[in-house]
Amino acid sequence: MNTVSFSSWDGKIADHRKGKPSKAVDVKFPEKLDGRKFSAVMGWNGIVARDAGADIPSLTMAYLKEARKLSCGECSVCMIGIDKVTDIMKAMAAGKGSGESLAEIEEIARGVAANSKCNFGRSSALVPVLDALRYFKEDFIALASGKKKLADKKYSTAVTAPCMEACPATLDIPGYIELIRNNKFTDSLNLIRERCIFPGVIGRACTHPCEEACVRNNMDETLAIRLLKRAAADVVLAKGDGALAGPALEKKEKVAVVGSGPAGLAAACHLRRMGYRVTVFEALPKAGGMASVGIPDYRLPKDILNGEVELIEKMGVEIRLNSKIRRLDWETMKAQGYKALFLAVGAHVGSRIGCGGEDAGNADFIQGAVFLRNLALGKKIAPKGNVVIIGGGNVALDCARSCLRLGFKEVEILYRRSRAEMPASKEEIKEAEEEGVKFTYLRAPKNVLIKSGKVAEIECIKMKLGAPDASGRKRPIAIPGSEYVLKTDMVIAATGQTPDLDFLKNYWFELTGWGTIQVNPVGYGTNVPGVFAGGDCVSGPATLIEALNAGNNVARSIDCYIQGKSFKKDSGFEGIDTGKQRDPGFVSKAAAEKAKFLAVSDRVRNFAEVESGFTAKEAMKEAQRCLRCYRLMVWE
Amino acid sequence: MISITIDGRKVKAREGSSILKNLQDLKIEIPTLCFHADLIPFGACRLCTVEVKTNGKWQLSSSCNTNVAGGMEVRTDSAKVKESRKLAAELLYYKYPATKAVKDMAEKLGVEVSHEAAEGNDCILCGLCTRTCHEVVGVDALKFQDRGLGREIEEPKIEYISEACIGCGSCAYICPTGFVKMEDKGRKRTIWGREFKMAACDVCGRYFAPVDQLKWISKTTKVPMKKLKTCVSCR
Repeated sequence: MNTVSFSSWDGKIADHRKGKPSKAVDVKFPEKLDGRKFSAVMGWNGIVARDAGADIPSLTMAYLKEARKLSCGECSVCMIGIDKVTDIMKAMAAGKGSGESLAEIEEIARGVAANSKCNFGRSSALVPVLDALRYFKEDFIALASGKKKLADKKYSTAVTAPCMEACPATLDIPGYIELIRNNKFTDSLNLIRERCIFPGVIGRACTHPCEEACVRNNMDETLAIRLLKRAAADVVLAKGDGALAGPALEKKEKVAVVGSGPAGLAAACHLRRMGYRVTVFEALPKAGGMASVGIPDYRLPKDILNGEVELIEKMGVEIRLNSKIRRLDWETMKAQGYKALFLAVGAHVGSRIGCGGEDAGNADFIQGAVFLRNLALGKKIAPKGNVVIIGGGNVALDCARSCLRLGFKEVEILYRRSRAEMPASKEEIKEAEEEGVKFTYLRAPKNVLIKSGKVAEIECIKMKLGAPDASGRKRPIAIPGSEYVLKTDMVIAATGQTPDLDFLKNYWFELTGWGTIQVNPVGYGTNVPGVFAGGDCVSGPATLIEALNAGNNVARSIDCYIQGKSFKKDSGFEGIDTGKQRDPGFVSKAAAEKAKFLAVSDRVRNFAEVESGFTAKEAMKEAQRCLRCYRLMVWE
Repeated sequence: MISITIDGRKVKAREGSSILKNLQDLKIEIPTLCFHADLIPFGACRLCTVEVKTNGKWQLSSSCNTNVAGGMEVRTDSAKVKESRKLAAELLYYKYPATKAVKDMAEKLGVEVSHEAAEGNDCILCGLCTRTCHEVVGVDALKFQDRGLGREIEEPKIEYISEACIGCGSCAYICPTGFVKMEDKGRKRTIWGREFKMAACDVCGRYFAPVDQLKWISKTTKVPMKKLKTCVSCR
């Protein structure tokens, strides 16, 4: 039962302390923090006390100490305000407080909240201290009169920001933006690489959920977070700088990784930094996984990816290309000295679309993943007249835009739902439309007709949207009798991918209903001891940043496994709305810096990068817009 | 031009200009410690705070880095504005009581100050030197030390990147508290603890600029060193 003694969370007061037993109230705050019950928490948005006897003055002192670490000191009020409040509290505890001490703290806290430059000062810094003073006044008076002492307890601390919470890899976004603002691009890049080993790649191809969560959306427009990350990479790497720091201490244990995509290389890189000897086995002639063979050059030039892969190799990760593992033999590998194995083979097999002609094996009825891989590996693709692409995700769009660039005359995407449900990113849809890709919604393929060995027609059926399905999107329903025929020379099926797990046959691996590897959600361990799995081969086709996150966690988990420690995930803010802030104050409107794009007429001729990044100056200017919404919580 | 209201007075303002610029043009005195007209505003000292009416509510905002908008209503002398400025000055004075520029400002804004002479020269993190070094000089020898998640630094400070510095002294010139000290002694200039060799004028023989600075000017303007080695008075 969610019972609290007192809550001021979100500014809503629930007070059950006055002799009455605490009872369940509608407090929008989780019952547990970090998986454990807590006695009292102080955070940017208020105080939640579960026990009536919670020691709020001591909690306040602990909070001030943590807040001081996050206050940047660049504006005059926040950091010095925290210092002065701390000093007054200390004086009170030492019996040197005056009758005005509490009023003085209140005045400072109000002033800091109203006049700070950034959202840290306006929320996290001292706002909850105001609640403490107001609702736990007797405790502070008791402190000042010597009836109570400050206790030196152990408190837990967690820090996040709305953008960080939205980021699958929880990058310290305000942190690396602040470093850009302060003209420290190398430091910014290194901070990014703590959790994202491919800043140049992610800075171009990320789906950037962080930008959706940016607090500035409610004021003017989101910060260009993705482009700032790209700038950190571009500014440093263009100069040939940015070497990755190698391990401080070598370890003798070996770790094997199967697959050199974002998940595999993230784990390899972090394990190497911890000192392990890491070998990555890659089936293809190129490293990078889907970043290499799934994203076309106009979105992600391959020299960017290759440069970042090279840095990982330079720090001592061995990548063996053209080394497909046909039958996993973990026993032999263990005998060779490998202590742990990470399976990160991705999901490269196209899903069946359940349409006639699919099994005829015609080269012009091709899977999207195969089409993009062929293109990336330099296979010549002769342009045809018409091509129809089935699907609504980024793979479908990547295929369509690539076809235009290859010289196909008519490129049409058929998607079974409407534009609103399309999983592809909005930018990609917009750019594809500009370039001349035709989108037809609420259509599904029924049959591909092959005449004298060539794809000739595709029979389609019209759809309508019904009630939402398990994914939350409206279910497409075929309209009987609405079939029609489209002439086409090629059909690309891009409706999803599954992993190729044939090589695991010698073992019994637990799989999911989706045909992916089942792992322990905390430590990414499979049912085979010593074998871990992550990335698309576990999650199904997902984003690069999700794969990187899996790799990051697997590295820590494998380290714990080898060292015999227990792995614990980072403490989270589940169930807490980090976007909420009581009074955001006045924020001067400022439009985001804009990236330049190639003219549409130039784009469709070749695979040159469409979007250009920020210069250092533009990046520093954009970084000024960051409101630095660090959210702090301290609890016992 | 757009129309805004300042302290009840309707005035014209240039679009894209800051509130502070308009206040200064109107000769309304606004306290500042981190502002310079030639530098991008920083909003650090929180002394130029004014009130701006937003959605019917008066809210505080630093006027240096807030641009005017059509119909904007601004208050520069309300009790809330005065209190906020006073608190900012009071906090600065709390941390840097011995720094004259801070003490003078605090006194001016109504803070009770000590009678003892202020003889210290603290860095108040106003960012004038870092901005000058980046925006005007362009060598980036001074940068803010960053704080944040997991970076446990006791006191934030300005980082001096010795190898980037050309010894031009712009930071010493702009520093409002005298924290940046520069000393010229004949053929030697000392700044941020580093010594620079001074160049002597080819005509009058006076030591007039660090050699590194002349080299930098030569590199960025393509004017040959030989020409630069004549001081301004002798040219």
